[in-house]
Amino acid sequence: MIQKKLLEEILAKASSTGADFAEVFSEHTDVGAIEMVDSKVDKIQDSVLSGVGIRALKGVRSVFASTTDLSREGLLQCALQVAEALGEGNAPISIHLTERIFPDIHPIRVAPFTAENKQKIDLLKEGYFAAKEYDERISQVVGRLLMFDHNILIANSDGLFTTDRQIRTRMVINAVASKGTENQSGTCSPGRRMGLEVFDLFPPKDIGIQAAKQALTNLSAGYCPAGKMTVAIENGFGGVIFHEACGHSLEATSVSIGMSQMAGKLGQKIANEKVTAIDDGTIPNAWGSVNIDDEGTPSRRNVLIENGILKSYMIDKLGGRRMGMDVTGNSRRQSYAFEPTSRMTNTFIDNGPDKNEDIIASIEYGLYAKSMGGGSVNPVTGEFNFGVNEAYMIRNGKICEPVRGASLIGKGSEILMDIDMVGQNLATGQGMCGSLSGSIPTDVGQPLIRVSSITVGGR
Amino acid sequence: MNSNECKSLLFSLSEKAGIKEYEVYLMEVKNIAADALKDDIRSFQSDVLGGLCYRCVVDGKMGYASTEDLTEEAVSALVEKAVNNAKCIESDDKAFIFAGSDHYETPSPAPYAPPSAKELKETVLNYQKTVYEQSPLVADGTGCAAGAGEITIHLYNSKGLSLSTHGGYVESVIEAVVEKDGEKQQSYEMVTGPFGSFDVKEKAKSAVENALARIGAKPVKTGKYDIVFSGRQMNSIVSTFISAFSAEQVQNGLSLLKGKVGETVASDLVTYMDDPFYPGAPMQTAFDAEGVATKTKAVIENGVLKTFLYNLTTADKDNVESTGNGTKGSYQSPVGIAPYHFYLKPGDYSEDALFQTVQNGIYVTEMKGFHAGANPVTGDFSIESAGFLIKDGKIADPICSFTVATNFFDFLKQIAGVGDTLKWSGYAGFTRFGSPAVWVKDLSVGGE
Repeated sequence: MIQKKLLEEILAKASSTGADFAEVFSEHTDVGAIEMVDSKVDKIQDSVLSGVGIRALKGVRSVFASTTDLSREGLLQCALQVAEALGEGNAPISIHLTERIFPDIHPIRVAPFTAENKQKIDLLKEGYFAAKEYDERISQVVGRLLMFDHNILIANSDGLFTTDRQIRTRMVINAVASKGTENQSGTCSPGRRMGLEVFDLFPPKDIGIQAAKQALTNLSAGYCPAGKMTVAIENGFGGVIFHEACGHSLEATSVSIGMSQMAGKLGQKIANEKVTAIDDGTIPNAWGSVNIDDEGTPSRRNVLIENGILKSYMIDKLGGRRMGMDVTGNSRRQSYAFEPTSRMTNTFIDNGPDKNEDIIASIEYGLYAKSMGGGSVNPVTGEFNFGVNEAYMIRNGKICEPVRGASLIGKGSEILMDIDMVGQNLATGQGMCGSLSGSIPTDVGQPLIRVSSITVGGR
Repeated sequence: MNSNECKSLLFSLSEKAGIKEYEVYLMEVKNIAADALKDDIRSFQSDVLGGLCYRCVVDGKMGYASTEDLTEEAVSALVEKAVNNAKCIESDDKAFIFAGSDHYETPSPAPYAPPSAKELKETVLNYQKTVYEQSPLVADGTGCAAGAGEITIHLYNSKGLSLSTHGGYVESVIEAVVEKDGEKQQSYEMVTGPFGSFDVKEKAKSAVENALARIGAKPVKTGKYDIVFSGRQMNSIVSTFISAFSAEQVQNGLSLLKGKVGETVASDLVTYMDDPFYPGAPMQTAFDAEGVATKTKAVIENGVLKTFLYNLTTADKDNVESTGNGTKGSYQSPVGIAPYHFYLKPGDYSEDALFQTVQNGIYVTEMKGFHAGANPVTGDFSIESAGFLIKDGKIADPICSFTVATNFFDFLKQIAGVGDTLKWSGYAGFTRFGSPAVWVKDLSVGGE
């Protein structure tokens, strides 16, 4: 870790041409991945990421530089580059850093990088073979165990000096089922901000079986029909609908420059009154949780939408300056090499008033989307899309045959109004969210919901 | 430590540990970029990133370890880590540390000169100003951008191989956000090549016109349509399914092209080339991530699958020669497989002639969400799209919020016409996709 005195010097240098804020973000991260294919351990990735990102702000202008050269000269050169790109002159600045220690609300029991490879491989094999041996039609399985030990240091010209350690562990099992010349796939990939003890919570065997079952379901499925339908979207990763349809449009990244359809709508009704949506980075050990965000602001629970009314955006420091609003603990970045910006943490639609069985029973003809894939959105127009991994037709209030190859598309502003039933089995799913500041772990979530009308892409 | 010191240290530690086969792979990446908001620079970024990957063969198995921390302590730790990792590998795939090819081509990339910070900022502000000048409907949120990136790679191994390559390019994005009757639309033109090598006004005009043309887009009726895909969208489609051409995916049963070499897998209008030395391209490399000489080859020729893309391990398994497509997404990645300039050979149709021939159908100019709506293993895709109706042989009303769904392997066979002008995607490492506009018959569209 960089010494406090040197950090003070770097911040002074970065501020020397008129910056009103300067920040150093230093990182040392172990990244590990064990991969199995064809029933054998195939690849092991074992990397150390190490670098520094330096940022300076002047009003709403930002300059950012990063380097892997952590020598005193390398760091001061990087700070000088930032200062020169921002302004002119050489004002003497004095900075005093005071260490702040924030409580760790995400206890870890088994740090994955201190465990022996064998222990980790045994866990992966348990999940792998549970999928492989589930059915003879499972022709291939790819299994990955992913581990991150992310150590960060944040220091800024306001005098903040703090650190955090974020450990995350995840298992991804992809199963392929084959019949003649056809392949279908199924996937299961739970993760937590935990060490290897995460597999007490998610026995690897269950992960493998779930992936295999989904592949087999799709193998017996016909293509999903296309057109507008009523759709019931199941809990867990189904929450990706809110993440794409609304979440990204509530980030200061797009709101602060007027590029979001949600800009200027605080206090207005933007969703059906059954919808209450929350972004909460303080859920102990959740995949998207942080003690502090990547600007050193403690994470918190932000109610975004309450009974359909827009209550809050997700705001980072620069976005807050543009909007004249306070930060919300949502500033995040993939690594030191990315400038931080407003991002989601664990974002979900809260439990609602409807019974799950009533939701299915209410649909005469429609789609039951049991498991969702990822998605994307254009915040300017609000147009979003996401893929469906496992789905069934609904007829006369009953779940019928499986269908595959579906996607759902729509406009955020419309879909939020069309969520007209909200169930009571809130659960989350883990994702990697990609945006301006890179790829970060986020949770999505919801109970079973009904969307009265949405375009289903099929054939 | 610098690259030579890292190399010497790792070579001597390997010898001491009795390791016979090993490799040191160093990558340095430099990026500089700026973007604008209204009439000012919104953000400016500059990075110097470097990392080292060490790999070695222990009892016939390959172990990897890598670091960005190039202190003596961190670099020294790599040998033990890689050995431990090698000991856990169970795959029977043969591990290779390569002695070198007989001959390496001499690349002739477009010359690269990184812009200064000042030049970059002035250029971006000029783009921004030019876009605003094109129409009073250009709205705030328009964010032109430009940047430059360069990669330097050094590869040293125990068999005496010592190779280096360097490449860089400048990229401009001229974007327009327009607003009319409360509706916003966005479009952009991307140019890879030096500032001043193209007409800024022409690109700005095109971005503004394309964004304005999309205002008032309406949904389209569900049904079957003939579709013309713009070159840019074809690149998105093909890059999503490129793993189907990787010998590794094929051997693992994760590609439906398995066993299809020599067979017709596409319309006879389709010839896909992979060319590491595409004339005038700024990123060219004579060797791949394992040190194998790269070469130009047809992957699909007149519809017939000619070869998969190989690295050393997969080539050994199929008893063929590596095609020189060993790649590392970043220095720390294990050796995978990727193409270089992977492009669809242009056909005879001008874009207007394509529309004339199609007469009635859809011109798709936007597709989003490939990571979610497409599955390279099964070939299925269902993708959110936007574009224009083709009516009586001409571009007509803008349309949006519909999906195009098919299976990629059927799609290749349904190609009925290929345009005459290549559009290139941006680079990811040395990989880039190229395609003209393509006409595909009878596709399922999900809309109203």
